[in-house]
Amino acid sequence: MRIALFLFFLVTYLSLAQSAEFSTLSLKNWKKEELAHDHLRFTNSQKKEIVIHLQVDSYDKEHFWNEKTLARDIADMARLRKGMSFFLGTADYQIETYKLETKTSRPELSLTGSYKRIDGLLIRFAEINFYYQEHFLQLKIVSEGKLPSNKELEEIIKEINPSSLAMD
Amino acid sequence: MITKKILIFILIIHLLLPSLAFSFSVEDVSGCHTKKENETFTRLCHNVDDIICKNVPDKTRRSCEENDKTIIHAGMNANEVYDFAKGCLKSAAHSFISFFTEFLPELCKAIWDISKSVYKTATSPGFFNSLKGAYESARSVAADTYEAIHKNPGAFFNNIWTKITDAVGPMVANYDCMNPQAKVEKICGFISEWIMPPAILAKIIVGGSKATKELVELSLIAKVGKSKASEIISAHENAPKLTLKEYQALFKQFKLLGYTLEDFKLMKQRGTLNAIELGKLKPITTDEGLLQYERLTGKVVKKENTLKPVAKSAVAASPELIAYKDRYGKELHLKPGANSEFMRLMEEDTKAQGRKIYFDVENSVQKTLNDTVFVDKHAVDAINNSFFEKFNSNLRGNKELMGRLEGEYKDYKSYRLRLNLQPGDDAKKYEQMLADLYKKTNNEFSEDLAKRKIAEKIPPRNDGLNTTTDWFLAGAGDNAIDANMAARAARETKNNQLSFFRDHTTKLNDELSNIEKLRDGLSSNKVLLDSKVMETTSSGKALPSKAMLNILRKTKPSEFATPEEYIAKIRSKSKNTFGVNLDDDTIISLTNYFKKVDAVSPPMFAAERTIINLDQAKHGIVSIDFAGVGVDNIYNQMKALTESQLKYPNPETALRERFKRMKEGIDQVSIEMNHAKETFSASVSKVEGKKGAPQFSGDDGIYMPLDKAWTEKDKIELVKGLAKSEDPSKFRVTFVESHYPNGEIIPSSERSKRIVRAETVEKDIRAQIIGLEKITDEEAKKFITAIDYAPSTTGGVFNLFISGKDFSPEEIRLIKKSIENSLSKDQGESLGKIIFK
Repeated sequence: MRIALFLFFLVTYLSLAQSAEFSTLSLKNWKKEELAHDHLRFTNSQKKEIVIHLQVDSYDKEHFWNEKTLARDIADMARLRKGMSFFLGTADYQIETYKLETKTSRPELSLTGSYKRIDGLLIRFAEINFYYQEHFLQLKIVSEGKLPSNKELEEIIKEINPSSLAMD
Repeated sequence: MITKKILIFILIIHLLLPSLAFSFSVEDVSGCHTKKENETFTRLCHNVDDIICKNVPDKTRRSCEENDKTIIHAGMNANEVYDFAKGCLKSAAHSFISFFTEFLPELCKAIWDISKSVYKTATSPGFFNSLKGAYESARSVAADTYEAIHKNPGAFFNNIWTKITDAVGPMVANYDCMNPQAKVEKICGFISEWIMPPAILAKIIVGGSKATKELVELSLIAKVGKSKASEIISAHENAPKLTLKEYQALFKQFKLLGYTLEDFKLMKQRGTLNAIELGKLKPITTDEGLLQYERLTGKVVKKENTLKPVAKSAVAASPELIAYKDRYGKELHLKPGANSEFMRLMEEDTKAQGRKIYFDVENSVQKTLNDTVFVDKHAVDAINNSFFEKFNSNLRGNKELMGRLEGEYKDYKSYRLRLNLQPGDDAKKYEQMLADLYKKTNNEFSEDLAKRKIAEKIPPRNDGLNTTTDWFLAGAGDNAIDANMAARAARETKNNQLSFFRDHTTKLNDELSNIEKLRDGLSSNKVLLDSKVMETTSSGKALPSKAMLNILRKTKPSEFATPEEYIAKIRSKSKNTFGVNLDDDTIISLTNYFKKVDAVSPPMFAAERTIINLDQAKHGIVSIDFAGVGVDNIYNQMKALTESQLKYPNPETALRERFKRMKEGIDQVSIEMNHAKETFSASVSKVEGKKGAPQFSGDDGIYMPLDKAWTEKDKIELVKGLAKSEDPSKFRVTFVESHYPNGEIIPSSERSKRIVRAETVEKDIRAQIIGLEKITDEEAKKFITAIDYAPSTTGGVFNLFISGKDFSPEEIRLIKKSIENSLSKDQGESLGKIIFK
């Protein structure tokens, strides 16, 4: 019993000790700007066409994604974003790929797509939403050129280490 | 052209930065003022504003002071426009940060939460039905937006402004007419409901201060000066922060107590958010809560629906309309007794044989013209006079029609004919003649309005009112009710054609059946029955109670900026009266039911129109308004509909039977009102000590004391006398002096306005004192509230006489508070005394 109690405290301590605050996140070689307490922006002088945004928000658990209706829901969401984007200087907003991972305890929704900015410039984006108990973390990569390769993306995610974040 | 562009620019600035008007410092405000040469702003406030702000209800309409700050006009020269824009931009910069970073995100989140639940219930499968990904999208688009701003702020804002101008351009003017809070709610509501959910705005934003900083650095907000802007930004960034979550959680708690976001923000600014422990705070609907509210916000609470004097319309002030009113100032009168004869023949025709054709033409937009276009009863009278004069002349020029005309009826808004066809007459031919008569008159009327430059002065509207041939609509049928219903059915078609009852029977029958289905659905709602929102009648069928009908009747959708606000108002009123929180679906069903029954109400016929000349009053005026007649009418119609679900051989007979029963319901109300008139007359005679003869017109009446002004004792005696009647609350009595305190005579037109004001105060008082945890509806029937008003040139003194019930100290306190709330002290109105008898 004592051992069990000790292990419990140990695990709790270790998990707390290892968890990171959102605002302390950093990416090697990327310059961080804290736009708001829940919004970070990263730029890299070597990769000027790419910008990374990390944001945190709560989400509606009653309307969560599921595989059965995913295609329709993504289409609806694309329409929603088109509506939002119209007023915000973008055109031709499209979600081109999407993928939902629900097998782990922390579901993930990945998207890629593109749109045209006011000046007609084609913007590509990759977005991954990591879902926690109450909040989600959104990693968004916006590029005026190519998107990072899958490998590069994996490295960025590894560095962010979503599972270590104290989100809830 | 350039001025116009700048105007749009400024309007958009204000659209995007609505908070600036209430966050100005004195110094800021000065920047928005231009030289007042030629009193341009005065003209602006009294003329231009009345055109573009006509649809904005008083309570949300900006004040002249706000107006000065928020609009420019074509009369200004280029320098004035520049100065104005410079000043406003300066002010905009001051408020930019706090608006984007503090106020808007919270407001939008709150609105989004509300709208989410509305979408869930109100939308069919479609765009808003799926809310999945809304927050993710908000964040995602926020990042895109940030990058767009970051890359090219000028292009970004230009783009937004262009899009908003294109998309919501027609609404911009109306938004600009609103006071700051209403403007913010409207804009934010619109944006969050239809374009973007919360956090997008929270993040346009994108940290707010960051974006602002960039704008300053890029000299986009150049006029404020970099150092000043930096100072503001720095002050903001160093200020202690509440997280969005904390801020929202706290606001939610206040919101539950009835505080608005504006209140919340105000308390934050005043540092009073924690002045009273949250657990000790009471809802602002309670007296204690109201006191707490005043303490925390520093606001002096006035009754929210206190009516302000309606501003005169700019159309009404135009020389062309003055000339028009002059030309058509005289009302056409049929020969004496024509209406009575028409009504007699109507009755006779129900028993007699022979083919008759009834015709009915009415001003279908009378109320809208009165309330929102001209805001001038005389102007609308002139409109009616013009049409009816032409109609009468064309009718009399048609010998064939005149040969069959046996019965004419005319009142202020309608003209009715009865043709008695002879054996061998071709009914179709006469119907065609009536159709031609109507069309010819309608065209002449419309052309005349254009020729006299009245039509062009009516600003563009989205309710079809600019088509003047749609104002007067006509119908025909075998009896007067059929003809009237056909005329009303024409509101759906509006094609300058005579509408025939026979073409609408199926539709009308279906409509009546649907009304009953709607009522049936409501009857099965146990909450409505338990809370007495609906009551079971003697026939065993449930109907909305009269108290509920009163709410539905007095809450007009046109007075609200959005359907959601309208629904919210009904909800709060019914909660106040019945203690029940009605859901959206139920409210929508109730309002639909009410509207549908109202739309099929049989027409009212009055023997002759009594014109009461208030000029004749030498010793004051005693005015009587029989309260609740409208509610009684619609209640009886609803009741009649529940009782007329019988089987009839054909749809036309079924329809006629239903209308007949509804008309009987209305007739019953008229009988009761006539009885009340007799009671009033008898009470007046008792005070006068001889036979007094009040003059009645519809549900209003006036008595002008004969030899001397009534003393306070006389007035109280009348009130006490009426208090002994079966339902004293039916008598809305007001006493209004005929002279100002300095002895000067109050002009006739002013007298009628003052009577209306006194009646409004009376209504206002009752609305505040009757309800849940206040005086019950049943108890309220036992007493009469009368207003004794001594007008001065501005405002005046109001006394309140109450009789018929013993009030508790708590009720007395409530009554005192209600009259204080009802009076506009800033308009010079004050309380004299309250007398309980």
